[in-house]
This record gives sequence, C-alpha cells and structure tokens, in this order.
Amino acid sequence: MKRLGEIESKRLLSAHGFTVPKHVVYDNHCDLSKIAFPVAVKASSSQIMHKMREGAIFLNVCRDDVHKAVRQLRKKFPNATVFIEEMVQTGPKSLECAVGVLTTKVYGKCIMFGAGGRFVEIFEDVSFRKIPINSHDARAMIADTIIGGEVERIGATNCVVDFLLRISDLAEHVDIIEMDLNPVIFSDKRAIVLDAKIVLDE
Amino acid sequence: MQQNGIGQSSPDILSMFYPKSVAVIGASATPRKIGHEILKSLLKFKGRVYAVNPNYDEILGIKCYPSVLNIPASIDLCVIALPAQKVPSALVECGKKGIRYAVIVSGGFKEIGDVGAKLEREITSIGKKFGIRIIGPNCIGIANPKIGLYTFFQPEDFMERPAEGAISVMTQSGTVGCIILEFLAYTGIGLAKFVSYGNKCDIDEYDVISALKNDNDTRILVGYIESFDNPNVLSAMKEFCKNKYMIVVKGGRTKEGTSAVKSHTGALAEDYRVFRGVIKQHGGIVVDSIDELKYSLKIVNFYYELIEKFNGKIVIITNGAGLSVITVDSIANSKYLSLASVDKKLRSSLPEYAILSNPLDLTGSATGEDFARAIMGVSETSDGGTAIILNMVLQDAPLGGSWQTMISAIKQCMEKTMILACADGGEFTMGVTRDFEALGVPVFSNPVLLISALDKVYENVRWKRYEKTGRD
Repeated sequence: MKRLGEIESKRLLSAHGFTVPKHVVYDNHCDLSKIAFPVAVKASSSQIMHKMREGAIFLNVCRDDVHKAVRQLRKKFPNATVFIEEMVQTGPKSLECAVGVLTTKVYGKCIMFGAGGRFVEIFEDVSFRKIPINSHDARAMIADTIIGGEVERIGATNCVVDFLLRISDLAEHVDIIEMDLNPVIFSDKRAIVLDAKIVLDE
Repeated sequence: MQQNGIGQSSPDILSMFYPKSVAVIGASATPRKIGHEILKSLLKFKGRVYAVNPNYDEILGIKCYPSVLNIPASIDLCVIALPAQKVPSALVECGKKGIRYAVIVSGGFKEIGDVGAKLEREITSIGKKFGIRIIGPNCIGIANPKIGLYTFFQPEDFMERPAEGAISVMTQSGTVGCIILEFLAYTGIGLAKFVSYGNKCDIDEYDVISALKNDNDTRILVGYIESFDNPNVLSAMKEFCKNKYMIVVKGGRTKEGTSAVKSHTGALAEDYRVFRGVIKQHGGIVVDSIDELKYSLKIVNFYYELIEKFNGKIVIITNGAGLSVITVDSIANSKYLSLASVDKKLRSSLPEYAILSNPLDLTGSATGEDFARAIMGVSETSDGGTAIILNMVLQDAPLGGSWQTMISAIKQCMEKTMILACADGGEFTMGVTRDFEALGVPVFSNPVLLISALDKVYENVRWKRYEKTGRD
C-alpha cells in the first residue's frame, strides 16, 4: 500500500487527463512569475487528513503574504511539503463536491459522490456504487444526493456524469484502492480537482 | 435414490421446495415444544411425513422412528430440531441416508460465540462431505404453500399461513419473516416460497436468488438482510431483477469493512450507505422500514404490468385539501416523482364546485359519482404512464355514504391507469379500506410513506428500462 501526497496524487490525475490547478512546490529556487495571485498555500503530507480543520491551508493569499504563510506552515508541519497553488474562482454557477473511491470487503471497489467541502462528514450527503459504473448509475448517484438538485440547477449534470465515469474507469484500471477528491469544483463545462489523496495497491 | 451413499450437492436449490417426503428429527409429543409444532405444521404437507425420536412409537398419529436410518423409505428433506450438540451426529445419519436437504432450526451455534461457531463449522463440513445442502442453523426454515410445506414452529393459531401467491420471502431473521408472512396472509397477497436461513452456514442469498430466478411462481422477492458475505450475490441479483422485482430491507447499520484508514470516503462508508447504492445498482429496491416494504410490495404486486409504463407523473384527486397538501409536499421531496398537468377538457366531467388543478379538489361536497367521473376523465385524458392518487376523506357524509359508486369506474380505469387510494381513520374508514382491497383496489393509510415507496419503485422501473434499452 502506498499513500500518495496531494502533489503526487494530482500528478497522477493530471496524467490521466483530469484538470488540477496550476501549482509550484515552494523552495528557495521556485519561480512564482508564472503563478497568478491570489493563491492557496498548502501543507501536504499523508498525515494531514483535513487541511481546513488542522490549519494546513491558507486561502486567497496575495503575493506579499506568501512568505509569511509558508513560514507558518513549515513551523507547524515540519515533515510536510509546502506548495503554492492558483486559486480557482468559484461563483453561483459552480459547486463543491466530493468524489471518492474505496475498497470494501464484499463489494470490492466502490465510488462515492456527494456534497463536498469542509462539512462533507457532517452533511453525509453522499451516494455509493460498485465500480465500474455506467451513465445510469452516475445519474442515479447524483439523484441520490441533496446536492444533486443543485448539480442539475447549474446545468452540471453531464459534467459530473462524465467525471464519475472517468474516475470509475481510472480506479478500475489503475491499482487505486482508495481515493479522496474533495473538493472537486463542477460547473456546466468543467471539473477541477482542488484537493486529492490517492492510495495505491503495490 | 441413494440409500446409504454420499449424495451430490445440488447447485440449484429449487428442488428443496418440492420434497416428496419430509422427516422431523427431534419430533416431540409435548404441545408447544418446537419439535412438536413443526410436526404439526407438516400435517398439511401433501407428501409423506416421518417423525424421528427414539422415545416414541408415534406422535400426532405419525409413526416415529429412532433414527432416520430406520425409515423404510427415501427422505428428500429433513427438519432438525435437536439441541445443538446433538445436531452433528444426526446430520451424519442424514448423510448416510442420502438426504439432500436439511433445515436446521436449532439455535446454539455461531450466534452464541466460539463454542457454537466450532459446532457450526462441524455441521458445515458434514454437509459438504455428504452433499447435504443446509438451511440455517438458527432459523424457522422454509415454506411452499403449493404443496402445504411449512417447517415452522409457529402454530397456525398464532400465525396465519398465506395462500398461494407470487411473492417469495428470503430472510436472515425468522422474526421479520413471521411479520412479512402474516402480512401476505391477511392482505391475501399470498406466498410462493419462503426461506429463513438464519446463520446461513451453507445456503445463502446467492443460492436462494439463483434458484428463485428460475421459479415461475415467483414474481417478487422480498428480502430481510443483515449482511452479505458472498460477492456473487450481486450478479445473481442483477439477473433476477431484469425480469422480476426484489425489495430489500436491511438490518444493522455498522461501518463498512473497508481498506480505508484515514479518508473522508472511508469515514462516510457506513455499511448501509454502500449497501443501498450497490443493491440499487444491481436492480434491487432498498426500503428503509418494514412498513415501506409492505407499501412497495403492495404497489408492485397490484400493478405488476402497469408499473412498467409509469413515468413518475401523478394526478391527485381528492375531497379534502389537507391530505393532498401533505402528499404534494412528499412529491416535492421525492427524487423522481412530479405532479402532472391536468387537461382543461376535464372541466366538463367535473362538478362546478370542483377546482380544476392538480390536486384536483372535488371539495367536501364530492360524492362517489363525482370521484368516478373525475377518475374516468383523468384516465382518458392522460397517457398510460400517469398514476392517480385518490386522497379520500371517507368521514365526509357525501363520500362516506356513496363510495361504492366509484368502484366500477376505478376497476375499469385500473386496466390502463395505476390508481392508488389513500384513506385513514377509524373503524368506518378501515372497514371501507378492507372493502376496497377485497374489490382489488389497493388502499394506503400514510400518504408520505406511499410517495416514498412509489418513488423507490419508480427508481427501479427506470433501472429496468435502462437495462433493457441502454437509455435513461
């Protein structure tokens, strides 16, 4: 079992055609000239499960405050990788969802979809299916959830369906035993994975 | 027939429901004892019955043998009601006798801990060695009304037996089985096959579903499930559900055994959540309570063919606004149901005090005749996919005194349109409800539960459509 940190997880997703925000690992030589501000400053390690709750992330950081944010995260999480990521602009026509994969004893690999963000475990607005899923399953998963109504309202249904089918396909063919994508920002046209954790079977 | 040989275990257990001879091992002469009541239940069995107990020559007029090996005829099924410790040796004798199926009613196995678990492993391996397929232990066994087969220790005066019907029941719990059985009995819906498999040391959901898929008498399978252990059950279920219906209620809401150590997905993977999604994906209807199970069963059973055409649209016809407000609220909260728009042409078939909208409010002045005209009108002006919900306040004098006059209209329209009646109240209303049902019109008392059950049934209809056509 190999746990990938956020950066490695996103590299894997990116290599399979998923969209992730532009990021750069912070060190003395890093080039911030191609990064658009404001940014998110994040500490990433397999030990941090809930960035928001554990104080491992600063959002909407402007150029002048980056170094201070980095220092604070390095002090608090000495073993983590600190990196800088472009903020994704969200609006009334986008939604924060959670998508996951896990391996269960009886059913094997399952996929999860639901309301994302920092309250994912409080609202528990999620639905599961066994992998692989078809488009009917993906639509039914959306309908299972309360956030599904919003997905429909902003016209993101096809985008979510497509995303779930691709994650199902990825998990089926790559040795992924567990995956946490939260949040994923959906709109009518695109899906962007803002945070990702993947566990590979080795 | 193999008298003393080792049998072949049957891959398809459908033949278990059609024994020609049954032996009760541990039969007792004492009324209200389990071994006595099982034998008594089997008095109506249309086949040969034998009792096994070394202490008697005869019980309830049935000849009693010291061992199955002494019975001078072949035995297809045995029911074992002995203390747990005595089960293994009795089962070995069954094996030597060449018996193919054993129902082990006795408790005292896995459910009591390590000692019982060891005993259970022992009987499982005896079963494997001799090719005996085992139901149980710790269960109430099987039933097939067609041949009068009931292995129950619940006496008939305590538990009514259902008539022959198209519903089969598969239950991990005997208790839930009893509740469903009596529902099938007093509603007259009837029973095809029943299995309570308890600890499922051998025969499990996979065997039952695979067998009942090929059973022409079974149209709907009702299941009470605590946990699945056999991954093959999903593919069997999917095959079953393409042409039949399966309604499942789950007991036990624990965390799913997963690989997850530290993830949101893992934390959210409550057993029931994963179960619900996966079962729906493989064609099952997952309901949240026994009441909802009864409601959805009633809907599917009454409208087995019409439900396939249902499009999720509903017209409510009522003589009382409040009940309909609640129904409309439930429809708004449902996943797949919505109100149909009503045709303006309906005006001519309605009394002038009626409000032409959906809900179609005939007001408190409405009589049975008014309902009849409205039902005919809606049925004629809508396509076959729309369902009608009748919210009846039978306490109102005009309707309470004339409800009989809508029955023939309902019966006529039921050929084309799903009609679900809703009424609740005291003795009078309950009496009318029973009369409606006796005339073949399903009545429900709780509109919220009705909508929730209908939503889940329709979700499954959509699944079946997708499986058939590849389109949503």
